[in-house]
Amino acid sequence: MSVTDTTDITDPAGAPRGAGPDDDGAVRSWAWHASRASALLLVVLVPLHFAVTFLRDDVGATTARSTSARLDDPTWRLLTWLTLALALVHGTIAAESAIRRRLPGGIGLALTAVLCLVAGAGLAATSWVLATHWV
Amino acid sequence: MPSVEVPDEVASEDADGPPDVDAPPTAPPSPPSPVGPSTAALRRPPVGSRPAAPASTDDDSFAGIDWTGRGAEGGSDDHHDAGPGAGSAGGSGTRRLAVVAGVVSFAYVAWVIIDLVVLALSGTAYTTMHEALDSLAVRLVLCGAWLALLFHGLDGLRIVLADLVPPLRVRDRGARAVVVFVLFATWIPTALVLLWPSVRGWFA
Repeated sequence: MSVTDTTDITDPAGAPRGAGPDDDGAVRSWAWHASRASALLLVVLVPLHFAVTFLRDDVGATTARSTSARLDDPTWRLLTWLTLALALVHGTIAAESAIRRRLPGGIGLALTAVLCLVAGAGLAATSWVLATHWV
Repeated sequence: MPSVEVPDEVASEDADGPPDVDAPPTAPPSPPSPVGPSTAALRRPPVGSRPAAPASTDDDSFAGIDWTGRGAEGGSDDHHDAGPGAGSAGGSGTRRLAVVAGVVSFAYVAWVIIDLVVLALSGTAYTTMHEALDSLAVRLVLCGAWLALLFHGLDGLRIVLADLVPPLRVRDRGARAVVVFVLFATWIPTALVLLWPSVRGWFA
């Protein structure tokens, strides 16, 4: 029997068995773990980033000076970098899986490669900006 | 009358009624087995999976994504809909919402990166761009993005918690209600804060 063939309708809890990561000993990919770990951090970091960027400081009153002043704080700079890096990793993994599922074959592979390149460029740009302009 | 030994799984099925009302009616019956009912008959394919696809556990999906890449389309909500009240608490509609929220969240991240790059290249351009963003339309877009971010995060948290604490799976409808409550309890006041600078002139 396949190790994944455990969707048992008669589970006492009324739910499929093996829904937890360790319930049935199923081996999951590193992407699954990376996505969940990043999600747990992002669920705190993204609302925090949004609140500070758009709620505390009004979007219409934001200037280069005010944003630079905020980024002068190394903690905020680190939080910004962490938020964006984790979001890129999380989003890329999810998008790669969706593309691979819907477009198997060469087109899916090409799209995945483009996606990874774009995400890598985004991460490089973020790192470059945060590391060179406020340090 | 001789008693017939019924496996626990079969007894449970009888007690709970038909196990899967969504099962395709044309599914071929399992061949009779000399050793009793086949356990394969007690299993069902993941909700939404393609008939020809190999079996896949629903737990391989998260946030609408099949992590096995084997073609199953069962999303996280389908996974949790397998419990009591399945089908009435969300399902594919919620999964679609989760995907849309994820795409909007990704777009938000892309916009923040572009914003940072513009700031690094030209402070004047950055300030000019933000002055142009001071409009009701942009604030409404931001409110939509904020709603998507919140929904994506809260719904994902519900799924992670359901996996970490299996007893919570039977309370999935309650968890969904909590998600909706926290979502709007957070979003409505913050959306007002976002919109207020543009609408306060209406009350002057």
